[in-house]
Amino acid sequence: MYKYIIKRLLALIPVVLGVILLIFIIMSLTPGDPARIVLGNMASEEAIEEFREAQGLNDPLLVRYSKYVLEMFKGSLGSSYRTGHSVLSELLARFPATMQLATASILFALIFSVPIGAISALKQNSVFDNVGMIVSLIGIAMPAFWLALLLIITFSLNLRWFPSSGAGSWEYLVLPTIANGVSCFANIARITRSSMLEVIRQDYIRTARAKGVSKRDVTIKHAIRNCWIPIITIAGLQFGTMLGGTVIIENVFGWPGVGDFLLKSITSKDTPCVLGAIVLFTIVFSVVNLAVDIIYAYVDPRVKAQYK
Amino acid sequence: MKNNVSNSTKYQATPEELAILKKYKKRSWFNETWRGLRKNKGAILGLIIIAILILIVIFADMIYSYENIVIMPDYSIALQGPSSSHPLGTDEFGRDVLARILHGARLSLRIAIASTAISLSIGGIVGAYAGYIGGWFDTVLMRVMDIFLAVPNMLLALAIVAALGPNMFNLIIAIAISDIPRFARILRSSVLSIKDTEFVEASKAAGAGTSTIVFREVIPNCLAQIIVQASIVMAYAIIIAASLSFIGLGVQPPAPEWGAMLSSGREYMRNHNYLVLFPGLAIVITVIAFNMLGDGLRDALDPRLKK
Amino acid sequence: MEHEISELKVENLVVRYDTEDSIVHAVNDVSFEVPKSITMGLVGETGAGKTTTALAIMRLLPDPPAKMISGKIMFNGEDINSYSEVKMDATRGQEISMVFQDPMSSLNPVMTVGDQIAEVIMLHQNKSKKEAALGAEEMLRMVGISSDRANEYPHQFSGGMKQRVMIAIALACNPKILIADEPTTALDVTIQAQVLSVMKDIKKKYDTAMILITHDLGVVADICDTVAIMYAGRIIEFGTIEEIFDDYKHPYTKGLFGSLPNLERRNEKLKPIKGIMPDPSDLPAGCHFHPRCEYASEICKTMVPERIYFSKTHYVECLGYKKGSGVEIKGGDIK
Repeated sequence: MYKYIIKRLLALIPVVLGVILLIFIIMSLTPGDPARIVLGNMASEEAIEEFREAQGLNDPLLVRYSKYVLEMFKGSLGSSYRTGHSVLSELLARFPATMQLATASILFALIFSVPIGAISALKQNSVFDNVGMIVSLIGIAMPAFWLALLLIITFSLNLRWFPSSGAGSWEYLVLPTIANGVSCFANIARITRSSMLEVIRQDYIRTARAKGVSKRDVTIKHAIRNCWIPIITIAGLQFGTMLGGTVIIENVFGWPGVGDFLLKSITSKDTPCVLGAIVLFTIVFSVVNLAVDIIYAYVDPRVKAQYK
Repeated sequence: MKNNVSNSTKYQATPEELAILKKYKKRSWFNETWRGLRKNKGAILGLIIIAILILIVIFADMIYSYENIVIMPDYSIALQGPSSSHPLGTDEFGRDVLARILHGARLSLRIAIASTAISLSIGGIVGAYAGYIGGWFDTVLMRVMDIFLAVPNMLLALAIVAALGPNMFNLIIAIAISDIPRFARILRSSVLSIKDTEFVEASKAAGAGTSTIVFREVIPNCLAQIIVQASIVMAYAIIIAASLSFIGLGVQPPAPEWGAMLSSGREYMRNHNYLVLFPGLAIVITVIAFNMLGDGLRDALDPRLKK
Repeated sequence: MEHEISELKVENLVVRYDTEDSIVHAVNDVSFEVPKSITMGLVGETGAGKTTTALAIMRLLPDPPAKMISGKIMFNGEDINSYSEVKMDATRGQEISMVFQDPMSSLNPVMTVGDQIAEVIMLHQNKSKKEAALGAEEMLRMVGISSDRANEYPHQFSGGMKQRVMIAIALACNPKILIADEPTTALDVTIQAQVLSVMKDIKKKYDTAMILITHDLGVVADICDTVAIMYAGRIIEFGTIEEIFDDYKHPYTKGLFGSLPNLERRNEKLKPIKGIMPDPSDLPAGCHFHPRCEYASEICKTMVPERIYFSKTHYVECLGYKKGSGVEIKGGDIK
């Protein structure tokens, strides 16, 4: 099992390198001179040229890429065009805030969505089920940032229960978590429901009932254990979507995380920062996907057998 | 009447059996799908909403002229709440919100359809060939797809739009590119599942080239899955387009994209929350419609396979 | 045969499936008794209503769309339909057990085999986890599986072994009645023999009353004491194994035996019964078998046959044996 984990971690490296190359290529498609974009129209030709030399912008793409990767293995992600600070230190400073929000959101989603999805399946076509499914449909369709605005209007501006921006004590975390987590909640509730509906029709559930296991226990002890795989799969994917969404949510709530940093860097054309942030998100997402695969093995012994 | 089980293998079907067989043959694929869809109330609702949207797209210009109403400012009536002359109010430039939302539908649908069509074509072809040809070609292509998929979805589109410059065309390209891996995967797995079946072998024996086989035999078989995924992807495209426009990296003002409207409305939301309410509702309704249609299609097309 | 006290008595069972497309009359007035230590074979083609009958006895009918319309299921002098949910849960697995048809999917894939057997022990007997685990190992040995394998998962077992695990689960609490629904159908012939031999041992050892659902007359001959032939939701012939095998009466039974390959008469053609099982949502009027019956006459199309007894234990539902019905079956001579 450990061999498998190590193998997967090593396999991450080419993927990350590939992503860096991809982003490099994308960034190079920018029309115009990056130096001029950063320094502005007023800057002199010498200043532009100096900047270009300092940042290695005169080298061809593959050379720049290789230099970047080498620097990365040495532990540096370059420095911000704007502030000159080390990109790595900026990212590390903001990383905990983003992870805090992402973790809170997914926990919030999981804690409510799994039971609701399961109960909806057991009481198929009941009022609970129909209402639950309608709410989920709406939850999936709502853009997180719109929900964020609505939450701010209702709970910050009108009711004054929660602050609308910034970070600090737990009250600051509530609204961003809900805004971020509702779409995730809706998706997981739906997959839990459909997974449970399928599992309940399986023969081994009938066997359990024939053994004398009560309806309640059948659900808790037999059914749910077989639902986890699709649920965890979706949860992993949703985590990725949330990571992407932090760019906007952190902006709306003034949450000082990596997403907010990325957005600011994009607007100011600060390429090393943009690159660093996207790479960081990619690594986090990939590690999460690996975690999902490992959890599969614990949940389903058939999968575990494959990993050996 | 005795049953003759003779040396020949022909089975003499009784009249009852023939009648039953005839009943099932009449239902063609399309008929069955339509019947299944009709049963699903949500899907029908989705279909109706999309039909309305398409009508709006076609007729929006006649209801509200783009030049005069949608983008022309009139500060004298700025920031008015919903009233009889302006059912959804006016924005900070005095423009009628309802007019902007109706025109915004054109933008959203255009973006959704264009980006989905592009990613479906490119992704589908890439995936189908990869699956069919196999070998290193397949491996390389799939590694590349993995790299694309390793980046959280919206960030990829974000990076592309940021690099190319924010406008609608680049937005479409960005969203299309970020959805290519999904369609590539679907087509590839469909191809793999029927690659070694008999009718493909028969085609090969008849001398059909790779491309012919891919297009004639393989792709029509995955049509069901493609259609379902397409509707889901279109729904998602609308959300991404709105999200990117919200942060200024999508469709630029004064175009009435729903996300962009939310962005400018944000400043005034304290006292004019209708500016934030209605464009958002438009997004939600449209996305729900596509999702319900996609769900309905999935349910209608799947059981058919099981039968 | 001595009159034994019956473990299970089913009286006038009627079960219907109400789906959105149609109403399926799965079981149409079925009655039988199973005394202690007797094995009753419930024979019929697919769709005859055998599994539905078994599920009705276990009160495991999928409800919707299945509905038990009427009938009594007497066990221990009480109608189990009157049991509360809790009492029924306590009865299943302990007093009445069932082994299902398809062993491949009948075991929970994420639980060890030992745990699944131990579960039924812990449910009904006041044993600790350890004791239950030991009991599970003993059950495994009894069905011929090494007890070392108790910690393995279902996917690590073959079909035949899984079926034996199912039997172990069903018998762990020594039930009075065991219902086995085509326990050997999904297995190949050699494994079939093994499973049947296990069941025979159990029968001898514990005096369990058994209902063996099958469409295989060879299995019936091997292990059953009485036989109920089921067609379109009714028992159309019932008797001891000698009575049915040596002296069957119903034209359908004749058809079942006639379609068996016979080594001694190799050159004769197989005689399958013409036609197909009727659609249970659209049953023929009168005698349900009349469209396929070579002896059918006008009266069979409208009149439902009643039971005609040939002995205390042997009856048939066929107008051909009813005096004055006008149906010609040269009395007792349909061979």
